[in-house]
Amino acid sequence: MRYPLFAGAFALACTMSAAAYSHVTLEAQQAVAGSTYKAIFRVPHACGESPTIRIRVQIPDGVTAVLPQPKAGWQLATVKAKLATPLSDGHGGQITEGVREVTWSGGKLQHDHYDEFVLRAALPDAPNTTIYFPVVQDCEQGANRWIEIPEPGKTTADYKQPAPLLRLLPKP
Amino acid sequence: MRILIVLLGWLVLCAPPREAQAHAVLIDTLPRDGQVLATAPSSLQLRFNERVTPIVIALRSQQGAVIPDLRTEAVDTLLTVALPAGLADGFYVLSYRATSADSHPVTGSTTFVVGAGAKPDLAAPVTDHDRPWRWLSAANRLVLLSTAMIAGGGLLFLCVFGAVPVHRGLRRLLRGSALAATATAILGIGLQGCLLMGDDSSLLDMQAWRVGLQSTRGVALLVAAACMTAILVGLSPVAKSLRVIVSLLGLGGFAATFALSGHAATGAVSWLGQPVVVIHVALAAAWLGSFVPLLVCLRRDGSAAVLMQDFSALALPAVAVLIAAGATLGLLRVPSFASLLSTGYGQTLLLKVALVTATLGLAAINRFVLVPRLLRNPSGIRQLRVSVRAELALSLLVLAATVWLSQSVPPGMEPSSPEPESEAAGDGYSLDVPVRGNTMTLSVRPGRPGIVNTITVTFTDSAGATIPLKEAEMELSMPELGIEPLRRPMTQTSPGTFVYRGRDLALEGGWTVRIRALVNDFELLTGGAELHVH
Repeated sequence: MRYPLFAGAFALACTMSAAAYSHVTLEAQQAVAGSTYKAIFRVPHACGESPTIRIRVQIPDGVTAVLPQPKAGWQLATVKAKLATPLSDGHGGQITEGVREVTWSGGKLQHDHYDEFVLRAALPDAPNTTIYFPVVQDCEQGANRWIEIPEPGKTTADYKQPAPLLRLLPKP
Repeated sequence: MRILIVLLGWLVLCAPPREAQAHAVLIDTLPRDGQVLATAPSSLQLRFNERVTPIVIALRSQQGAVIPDLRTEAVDTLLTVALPAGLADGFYVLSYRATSADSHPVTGSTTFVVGAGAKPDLAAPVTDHDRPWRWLSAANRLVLLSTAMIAGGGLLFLCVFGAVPVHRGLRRLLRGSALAATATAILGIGLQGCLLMGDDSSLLDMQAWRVGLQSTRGVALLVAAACMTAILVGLSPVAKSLRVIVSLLGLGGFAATFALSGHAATGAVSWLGQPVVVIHVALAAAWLGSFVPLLVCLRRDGSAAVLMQDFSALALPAVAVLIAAGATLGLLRVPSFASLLSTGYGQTLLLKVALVTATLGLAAINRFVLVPRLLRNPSGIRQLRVSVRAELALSLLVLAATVWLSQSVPPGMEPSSPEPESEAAGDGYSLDVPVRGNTMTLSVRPGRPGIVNTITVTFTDSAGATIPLKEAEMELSMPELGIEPLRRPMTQTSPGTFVYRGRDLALEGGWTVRIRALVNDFELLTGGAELHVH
């Protein structure tokens, strides 16, 4: 009886050790430009002790074909808007509208728990650049805004609440 | 059993403490940030959301002195800092630098004030702490304005109508006025310092004079004192040419001080307001200052009637320009008819207009009825004397209304708080900082340590338009002194303008200010600047 208990604790502890990050970040922080990318937003903590109740992700310019992954216990919503620059749909037409914002709300993520939020999207064909996915984490009390985009010459490490970043690599 | 030990070992190896998932966050403090306490606390508690290890804990007094002998104890998530006994009254900043279990530093500061009873100004609402000084300062302005105008305008009158035999008593009276104006201006510098420092300050305190001299009003008063000394020279028996030069310089310089500080300097359209206020003050002085010499001349018969006629011929166009300049200033300060009736400033302005109208009425009677009558019949001089005396009295009332106006806040220049007066005399400065193609404008008023300062921030884009903001917060720190950031939310006063009022800039020197302003949910503008308070 004692063994399963410890085994459980062991398993739990190992899972948690994997989550030893402080910011909301993307799991894979580099991807090939122009490819289809699965963005996994990792949410390791809340606002102080107040649980997270909503995650909002802003889709950067050039990221298209956004498909957010529904999540049990959370309502999914998207905000569509006109694109700054219309894109070719690859079949002679134009895409003028796209998802600019994805929101998961209605759930409750305690401050001492961890969760992930997922969407799939097509990345812009702009190798050797970095794009940022600003995230607003709303809690029952307060909010964390992971929206700081580094100025030239600085890195996300210089900021308190940097936006999750993704480096676009050249095609192999 | 061995398996259990192995499992436990694994647990220790592979599980960092649970807190490692997050930065540590300060949850609250006791006493809470900014709290005013009657007596010095024996300890200060900082509660975090997780266990932290203190690295540096430092307490500084308002004078910047480090308070030694702090003992810090960390129990679970609580840091308790034992404070030494006998902390003097005043403002304190406690800065902490600690590490959370994930080795991220957690830094910040918290403030408290000791001695609510001993220093009521620290605990009292911001508005009332300078009230006695406000009255003294207003009285000082009124005395300065009237004596300076009588002396300066009187000297100008003597220059223009030099043919009039100068009465010795008149010269003595004008000299007395100039001397009084000089002394009043110098006293005003100290009063301005006391006004800025609050009611526990004293004119005997050198610091008050230093603070006064550093304000724009103090500089204006110093210039005024110098101008009045020049007028004093002009009233001594000197060559006529020197007298003319000195009277123009003195009067012009005195009028120019009104462009240095006050509403004309800080209000909207200052490029127009500043020259117009100088013209307005100079002409007002010329007009008001001629009453005293006129009265003296009217006491003796002789050429009084001719003098009055000459004076009227000059006064008419001058008064017309004076009124036009006054009307321009009024239009600059009071943007709408509604605010003329609904604001205190507008009502005072209406009172001043009424008094000016009455004065003009008397002047018209003098010009068109009494002077022609005097020309025909010398016995009319008594009526004219009474009338000019009344004109002088009324114009002194106009000056009182003017001082009252300078003490109230014009519509559109109100500070954020419900207590507008506390700002009226404040000066300070502002900085423009480029922020990614936009401009951050940061201003601090009055920019003195230990008193309530108002920090205002706006962002404008490259086209000069104000960027609307959702919210803004500010971090104040003094890295050289080890004062970690004090985080303060700012409140919106008008779209795009955010303000913080508080005593946090308690220590003299350079404060690093960082502003984080939210344009929309996903867009942040950040800017930093150095603010100097002394």
